[in-house]
Amino acid sequence: MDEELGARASNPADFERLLRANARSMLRFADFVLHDRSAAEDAAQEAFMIAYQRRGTLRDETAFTAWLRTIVLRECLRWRRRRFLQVLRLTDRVVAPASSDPAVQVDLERAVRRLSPALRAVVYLHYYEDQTLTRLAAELSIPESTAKTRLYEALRRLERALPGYAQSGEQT
Amino acid sequence: MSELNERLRRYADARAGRISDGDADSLITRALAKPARRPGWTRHGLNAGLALGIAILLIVGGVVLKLQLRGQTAQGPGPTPRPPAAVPHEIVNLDDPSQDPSLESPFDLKTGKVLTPVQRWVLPQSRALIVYSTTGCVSSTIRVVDRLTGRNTQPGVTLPDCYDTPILLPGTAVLLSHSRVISAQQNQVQDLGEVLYDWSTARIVKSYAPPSAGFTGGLVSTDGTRLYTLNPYVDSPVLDIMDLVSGTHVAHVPVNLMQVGLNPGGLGLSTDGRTLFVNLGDQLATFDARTGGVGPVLPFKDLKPGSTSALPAWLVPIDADAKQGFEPNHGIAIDPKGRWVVALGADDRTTEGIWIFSASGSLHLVQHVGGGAGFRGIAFSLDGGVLYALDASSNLDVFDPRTGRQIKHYNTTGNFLGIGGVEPG
Repeated sequence: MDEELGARASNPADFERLLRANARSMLRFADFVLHDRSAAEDAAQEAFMIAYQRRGTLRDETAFTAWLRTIVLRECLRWRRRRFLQVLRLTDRVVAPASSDPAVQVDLERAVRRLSPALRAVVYLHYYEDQTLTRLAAELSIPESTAKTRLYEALRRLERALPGYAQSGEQT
Repeated sequence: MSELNERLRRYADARAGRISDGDADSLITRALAKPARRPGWTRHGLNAGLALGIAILLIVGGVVLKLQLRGQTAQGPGPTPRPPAAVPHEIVNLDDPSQDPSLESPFDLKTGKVLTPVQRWVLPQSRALIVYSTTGCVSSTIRVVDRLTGRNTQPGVTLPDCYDTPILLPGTAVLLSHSRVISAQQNQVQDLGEVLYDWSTARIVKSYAPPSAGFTGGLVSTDGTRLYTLNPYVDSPVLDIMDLVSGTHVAHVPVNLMQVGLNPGGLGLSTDGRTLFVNLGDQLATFDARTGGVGPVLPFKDLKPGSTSALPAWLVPIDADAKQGFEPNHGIAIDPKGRWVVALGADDRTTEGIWIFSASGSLHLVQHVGGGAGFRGIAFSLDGGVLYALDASSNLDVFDPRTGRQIKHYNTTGNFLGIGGVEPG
């Protein structure tokens, strides 16, 4: 997508176009990582502002998505930390069921909520954006082995949390 | 496609479907408008006020400095200022995510250039270990090659299943994590623990049950008898210590790892191998490396340089070879001469930066440098004289650990995740 736009990231107008082209994907990502719509909007807005201010540091424009993704994830984690320090419990917030079939989704939503944001980030990129481990590792600036471990941990924890999925031994 | 995978997809789709282009667009508009909210005259007023404040501070500072100098002259000559540490001619090996995991990119401090990638897992006599798995982990191949030419020095071995995350042990052993993919499509993986593989005879000599915290790489004691692991990607991380001789778990200690930041954590052993340092992201924890006994914990942000923590006898002195490891991107570094322990703070405004602890006598904080900047890796030079730090823009900084002063800054070309090691230039 970045190449198609053919934008020069250092140019404010072109950079804004790049940002807008990626904004929905990043907001969806933040929403999944934080599992809180208003928190995701706060974090994403902060991330977009930081990205805009730091646009001069982006050296490889083809890496724009990965660069922006890292900033968004960092702001999500910071947001969570700030809220944690204010002793607000995210798990107490009421969020509408994400599916038209709430009976099916409620357990899954609860299980996904219990994952750490770092694990949710990997789950989102793998299952929603269909990214391979190699690609998502590059987007999150983590080694591929780390991405693999996180996905492994996420699935293991989901299976344990969801009725009917727990398997014997260490299988996931 | 398993039912769980399909449910996850549907769930993510449904959640994402609630966010439209319009929602995101309005965020961008607000984000880009935010810096310009302040009217121009307010900005100029603030700048003028700031300039005036700085001018007053400079004048007052000058007066204070002059008075101090006068006082020192009256008391006779002070101590001779230390000469800044010199940047050694060394190679800093950087982790490049675009390369094969078995490779790292050497950065030559003398020329300031990134050299051709070299093998990461170095064996004696200029050889290297290569471990790779086929797609879907049907089999893994283990090779011993000449580090420079990449040619096999002995026949390669292919084993069924997945073997990865090598940790080299003293002698000819290497610890490998062992897993089996039951269904690639369903992401079903069976964790089979670790194996001790003797690369000289190309045989698995021992198998270990999986550490309960999950195996994500680890640190092995210099004598090869203890394995330290800590899985940072779970909500309740646990430090595991395994006796590699008997295969038993020595300790299983819950640790309060700061769940923020992109690369928190890191394990390091004191140079005498008696103390295990764990970087928790916002504090430095210490443990008895043999038993897992809990030692002092030094939080970063509440400390002021000079804060001390009394250590029990088993924690001092620190005087043998240094060892560092665990996700070497790379939250902790131990001075090879045992004088300093350095930890990278988690990626949060209150903790980020480089925290330098002196290990001479009692463990205490001496410097906090680089606050406000993200770092991805740290490592000491081979003589411990300088500290290398890879910043978030993949540039390399060299610090004097005695003063915390930056000695040199290198711009690199590339996107690096951490520092894999240091070797002579």
